[in-house]
Amino acid sequence: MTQNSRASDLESADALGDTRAVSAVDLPKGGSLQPDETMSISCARATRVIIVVGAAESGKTTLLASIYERFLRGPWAGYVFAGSSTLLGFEQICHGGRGASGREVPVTPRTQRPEGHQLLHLQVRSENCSGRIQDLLLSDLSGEEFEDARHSSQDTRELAIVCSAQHVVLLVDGEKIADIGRRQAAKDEASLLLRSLVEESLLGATSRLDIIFTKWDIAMQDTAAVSFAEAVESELISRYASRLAVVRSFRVASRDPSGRYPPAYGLESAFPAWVLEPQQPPTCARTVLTEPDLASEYDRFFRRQLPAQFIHRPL
Amino acid sequence: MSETQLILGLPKAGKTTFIAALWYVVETLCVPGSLQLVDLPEDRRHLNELRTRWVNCLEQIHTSTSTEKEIRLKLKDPATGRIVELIVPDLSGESLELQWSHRQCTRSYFDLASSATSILLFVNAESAAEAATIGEEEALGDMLREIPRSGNRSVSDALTHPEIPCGAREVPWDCGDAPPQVKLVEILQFLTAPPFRNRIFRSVVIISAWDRVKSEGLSPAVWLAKRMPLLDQFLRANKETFQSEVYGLSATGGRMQTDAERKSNRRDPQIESLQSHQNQGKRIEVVGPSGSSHDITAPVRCAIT
Repeated sequence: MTQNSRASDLESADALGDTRAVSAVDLPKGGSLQPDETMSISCARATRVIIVVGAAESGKTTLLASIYERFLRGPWAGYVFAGSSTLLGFEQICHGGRGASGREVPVTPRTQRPEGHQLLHLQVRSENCSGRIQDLLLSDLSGEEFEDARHSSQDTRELAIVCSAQHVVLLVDGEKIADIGRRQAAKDEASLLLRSLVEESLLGATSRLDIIFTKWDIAMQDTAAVSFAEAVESELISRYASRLAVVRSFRVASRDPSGRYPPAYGLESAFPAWVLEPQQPPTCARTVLTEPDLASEYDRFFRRQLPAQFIHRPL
Repeated sequence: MSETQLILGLPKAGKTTFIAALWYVVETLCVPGSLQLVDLPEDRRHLNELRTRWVNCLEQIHTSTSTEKEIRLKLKDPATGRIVELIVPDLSGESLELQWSHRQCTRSYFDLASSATSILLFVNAESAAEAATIGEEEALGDMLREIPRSGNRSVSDALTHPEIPCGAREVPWDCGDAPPQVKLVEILQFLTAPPFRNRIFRSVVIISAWDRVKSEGLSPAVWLAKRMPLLDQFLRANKETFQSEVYGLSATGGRMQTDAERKSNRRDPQIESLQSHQNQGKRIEVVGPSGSSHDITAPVRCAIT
């Protein structure tokens, strides 16, 4: 459908809209979801939340886009695509990596902070369709939020959504690892962010963590970068393996611009555990609650009824 | 007994051509074993107009949103004696495309779809375009140019237009550019989510213009898995909701002429060959799970069984 024919048909739709507006029926929007918009999914079915954390431009959104791109091409990682409430959201984040964008170097739109905590929805089912459909909510948070979390405990606590995750994925920027001038900063960014999340109890004894070195198509070409990545991996695993339920490490090329590797290359080893790990209660045994200045009787009653669930910090 | 059967598909998927050929077959009884028309519908002008163009090997006139019609056919299955009134809306592909882009449907579509028990989902074999990544296009370009890949991120010199700076041809995102299979999945998803009531549909995917891809040697089901993998996965994974089969269909037997071509009076041997069939039903080819035939009602029967 050409742009002109599409424009004329939309004009037809608009022309009809005067008579149809009263009788038009709204359909689901299809874009990425805010947390409060996921209730209809999480209340209807057991849903797994996967939170991707990492510095700005470490490849968070590209990672999520690459999962969708793989399913566009067929079954992947032992699963088939079963649906999504956010197809428009996926299409939007994939556009910059497609030939239709007119670009010659792929880009992914940066997730802006004002857009809030956006989630993409994906349903998968085992390839033989024997099990039930599993719902996944994949976070797409702004890198700036993680930058702030590295510097401030208060800002770390703002990332309470991490508590709700069944699986947390920490990205380490492989392109920076491959650059001798930036590799130490890449390590520090990931290490400090992880420590912040652990110390604020957003990650804990029931947490499942995947450390993913992104843009591995670049890093793998430099043996020094590969060795450095291995050292970072060993250090992080040894520091946190005893404090978290599971710590794993992977190397992923989400989107190789040369086309040597398919989308989400390397992620097929990590993905099944995002779908199939036994359900665990959310990581946070305690939820940080700040009592407002003018707490109502209802607030005080709530606090008295559930004292063990909360830590109260004075203003 | 009434059955509302939704015929869904994007623009130029072959829906109207199918209705034209279906009307011809059920009324003339030219294909043994096919569903048979019990009595003529009260208003059959639209059907006859479609049929006349089909018989004359002319392309169907595009169904716009303003020419959508609801078609009712009372049909009998000669094998079982069962009689069913088939309600088939001739929907425009644009109205379905607008569901994707505008996230709204008309009240009439909502009412029809809410009462539908089966779906015929049309996909045009020639329109199953993939959305290639930049990397895939780069790799294809390398294959065509037979140059080794450097493996770095710099722009391929052969692809760069020196007079146009990198990124100058960037096209902003337009939801209309989504691959057809994505839009079709969304249209099906709409039917099982609010405001629609979640229920089970008997579904048949019909790959139209099958004569154009027959030479690939694939069965329709394998073709769908290969060329529209997202749609195929969705139907497989949701088999409890969309109990589906896949058919290949050539409803015309070949390429049809446009009105302009017909007016030019230029001889077209292919058209003449099609028009020479005493039994025009023989122009139709249907390839399904149980083999190949001329019975265009086979997918309809499959969907209502």
